[in-house]
Amino acid sequence: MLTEKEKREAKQLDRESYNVSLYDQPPNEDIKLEEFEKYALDRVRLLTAIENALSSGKKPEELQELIKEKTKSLKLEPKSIADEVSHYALRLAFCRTESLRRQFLTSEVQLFKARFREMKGADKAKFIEHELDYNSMDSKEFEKLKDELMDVLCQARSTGPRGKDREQWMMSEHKRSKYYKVKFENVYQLVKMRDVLVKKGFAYVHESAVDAIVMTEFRAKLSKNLGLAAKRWNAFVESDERARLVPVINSLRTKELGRSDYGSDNANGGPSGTGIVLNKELQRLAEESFPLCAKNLFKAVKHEHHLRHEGRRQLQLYLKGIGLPLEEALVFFKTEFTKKPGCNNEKFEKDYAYGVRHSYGKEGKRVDYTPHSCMKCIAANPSKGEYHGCPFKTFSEEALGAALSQMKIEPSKVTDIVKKAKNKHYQLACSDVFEAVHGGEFIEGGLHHPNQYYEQSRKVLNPKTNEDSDGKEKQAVPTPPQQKEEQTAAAAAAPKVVAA
Amino acid sequence: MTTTKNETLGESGERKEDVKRQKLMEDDDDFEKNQALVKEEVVDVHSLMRPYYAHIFPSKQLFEWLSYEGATSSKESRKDQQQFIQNREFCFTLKGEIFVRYNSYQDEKSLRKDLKTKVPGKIDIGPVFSHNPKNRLAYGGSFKPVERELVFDIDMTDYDDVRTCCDQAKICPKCWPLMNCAVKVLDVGLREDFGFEHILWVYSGRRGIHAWVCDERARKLSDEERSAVAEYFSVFKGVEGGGEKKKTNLSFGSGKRAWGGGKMHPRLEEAYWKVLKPFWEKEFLPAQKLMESKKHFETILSMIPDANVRQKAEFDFNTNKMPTVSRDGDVDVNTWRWQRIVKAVEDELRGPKVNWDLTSCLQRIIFSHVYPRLDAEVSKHMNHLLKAPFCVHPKTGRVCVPIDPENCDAFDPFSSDAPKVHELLQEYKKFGADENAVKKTAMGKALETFERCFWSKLKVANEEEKKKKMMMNNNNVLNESNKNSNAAADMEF
Repeated sequence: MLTEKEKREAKQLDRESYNVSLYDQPPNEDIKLEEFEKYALDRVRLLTAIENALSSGKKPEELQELIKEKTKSLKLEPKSIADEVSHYALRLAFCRTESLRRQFLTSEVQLFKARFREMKGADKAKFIEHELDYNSMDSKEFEKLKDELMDVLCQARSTGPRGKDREQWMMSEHKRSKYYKVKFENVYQLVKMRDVLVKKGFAYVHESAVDAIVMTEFRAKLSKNLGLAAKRWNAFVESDERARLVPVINSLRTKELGRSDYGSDNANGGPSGTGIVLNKELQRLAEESFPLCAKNLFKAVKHEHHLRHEGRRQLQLYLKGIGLPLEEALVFFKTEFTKKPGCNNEKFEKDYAYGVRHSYGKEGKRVDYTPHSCMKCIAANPSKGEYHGCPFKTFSEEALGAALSQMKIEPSKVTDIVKKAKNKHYQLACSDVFEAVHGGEFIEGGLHHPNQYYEQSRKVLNPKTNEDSDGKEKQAVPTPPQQKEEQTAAAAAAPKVVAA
Repeated sequence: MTTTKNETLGESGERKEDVKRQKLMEDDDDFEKNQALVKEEVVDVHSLMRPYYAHIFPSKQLFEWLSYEGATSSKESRKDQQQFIQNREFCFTLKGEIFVRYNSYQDEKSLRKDLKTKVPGKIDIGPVFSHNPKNRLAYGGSFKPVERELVFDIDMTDYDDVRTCCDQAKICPKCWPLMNCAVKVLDVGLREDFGFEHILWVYSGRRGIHAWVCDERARKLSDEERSAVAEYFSVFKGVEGGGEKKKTNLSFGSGKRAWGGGKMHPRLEEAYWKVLKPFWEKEFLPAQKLMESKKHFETILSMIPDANVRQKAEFDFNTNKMPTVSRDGDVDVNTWRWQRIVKAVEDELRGPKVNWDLTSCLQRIIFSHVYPRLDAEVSKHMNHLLKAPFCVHPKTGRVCVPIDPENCDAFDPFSSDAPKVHELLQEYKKFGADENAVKKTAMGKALETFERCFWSKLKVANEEEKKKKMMMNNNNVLNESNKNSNAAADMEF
């Protein structure tokens, strides 16, 4: 019999033979702090590239190719020290808010998927048996269950080609070696869909169904671990590592996967592509350059002279992001809100002014909150009488169609956009709107933020302003991928320490 | 013995109407019985709960079951055991729909005592939590359910669109067999596919049935895994649109198959041939007379995706064509009309142009009418309360009693199989002096079913589990010392 140690070593050897990591053991090597930071920044670049590719609607094959390329150029080969270390570093950097976690999770799952697909058949089989603890079927059992297995394979929805090719596919795939015997709990997703044969507590899983399960498993585990990481961070990492890791991690976090976060630079009159915006310009800018989400909120506040909490928050932060100073924002909200019967200056000061100042980082914890990204808007679930969130998700098809027609988008394009929104491609739908109302100009690198929509729109409609502040522009306006890399590389050389 | 009983009965009669009721009980048994039959809903069940809990309610059996305890136990494990049962939630519904959640008990005695003082109209059983639910506030976020039987709930209300006899909470001998059909399909599926062995089936006391799957593996399923099992058995997905045009949503597996002879999932295949089809043809159609009701007939027709076949069937219906009496005697017109539809479909399928949808339409019709309709939400979450077996349904006064799944057809919810609380109390009074009085009442039969179909086997399994755990503990101690010596060996290299 093998001793524990021998078993461990055998597993280790097997692990080395396949090119994908489940990240279930933190790396145990000594590395320099600079290396730690370099690896982490490289991974930020990799994940940013993945996210951009996703939001610009790249096909799976293109994404696969891109990941392969980037992995190579950034030297983040799967299972290298750089890969392991950077994964854990970013877990720390992105574990602290829901939206950061989601962002990280989405790109990491894509990365894992691409790597898993690259694996060769034999390695995959090894991976399945060792990492997932699946057993192969013995021939006696297979003979007994053969017909029923065939019936299940025939009707399973989640695997294999459909239509004419299916028969051919099944003939070649219905073999003992292609099936695994697993506890039904481990493949509950398949059990749920009745896509698997279940007997006496065991599920008999066809190889073609395993990919999807591995993916869900990876996602679930990582999601859980991110939650744990957040807890640990608060419990001791932040204080124990104050001098060493915390500055590095915090500087990673502010990158928000290498992008500007559209903070209050604009409103403070700081470096900006668009400069300060005043109340009197808002109406015109809303018509010309607001994305639909901001337009919707702006319209609501003009009509109803009120917004519920989440709506106020989203609009206030957005306006801050486009360069509306605090004083102007206070005047704007006060003018609108006091038009509503029952709300006078006093009530506004009492109930709402604090909120506006809070959004600008002048109250409470004094955090300079960043405007909501697309992901955050999409995640919101406004109820009746609320206007926040992403309209491409929250509007009914009819309402969305009407809103788009109002923007003078031609009917055929409206139909296309509504269809995209219906298929949950909200950001793509919004980008299409941008293209339609900006004479075919499109958003470089994909749309990920309402304020990015605004800034790109100003750039297209008002190129003169951009020329004026050309030198400063690069820092705040999202830049094409090429430039972005330089930007982050520069940051790597001199990490910015951000006070908590 | 007799005196205690009278005292307790006296306690419940503190209010005037109770005293009156009691007198009635003593005066004329038969009269009382008839009254109860006529005005089922009017009986003040709650006033009878105190004597019921005092004399008849089998709190010992209930508590013993929920403790999952082996017969023998060492001192150490007895402490664990107490911890385990103490963390189980019991929810009481007091008079006036007042819910008292998060009760918990360390032994049967304390449960009995609480029943006596609080006299709940209904008892629900919740999960075993990570900590004693009484102290839940002290544990904040770490207080969560850790274990719970996998439960199923099937209500007759969900079958309203296929019943011609009753609706809503009403049941009658014509529709009740739908529940037997559900027991047969689910019981074999849970045992054969998932390997579960300890399943307690009960009549809910009013309009449905519950199943409690008590295998350790079932109790430890996560919410996702529970959902998966519930979905595995959920084919019927609700009825779309009210009124004339109803569409029954079914999840079958694939709608279209790669080639003609494709089958459903083996579980559904077996349910169809062994249970659903015979039940539909022999029992359900004649009982419900679906083919004589225009509304139901049209629903069935609308599920046939071929105009030709529909026309043939409609012709029979409109001309009110009746079967000729065969050699075997009377043929039910409903069964006959169904057979005509089957024949029409089969004829059409033999034709040159094959309509794939038509191949599965007969199955679709049968599944959409008689396949078990689960209230899946109840099964999906550990943290879902379900009425405890042996407690009384507050509206009907009937006791929630076990059903033998092997012989569910024999269970008659309109008889003393599902005894009413006041009948039980009367019977009990009759045998008053006897120390086996409860066993002689209708509750005796219910307890016998509990023992025979469920508890006797579970008890053995509990003991085995206990032995296994003890052996594992011993092994762990051994391993621990082995590991130490291994570690020493590792050091040398």
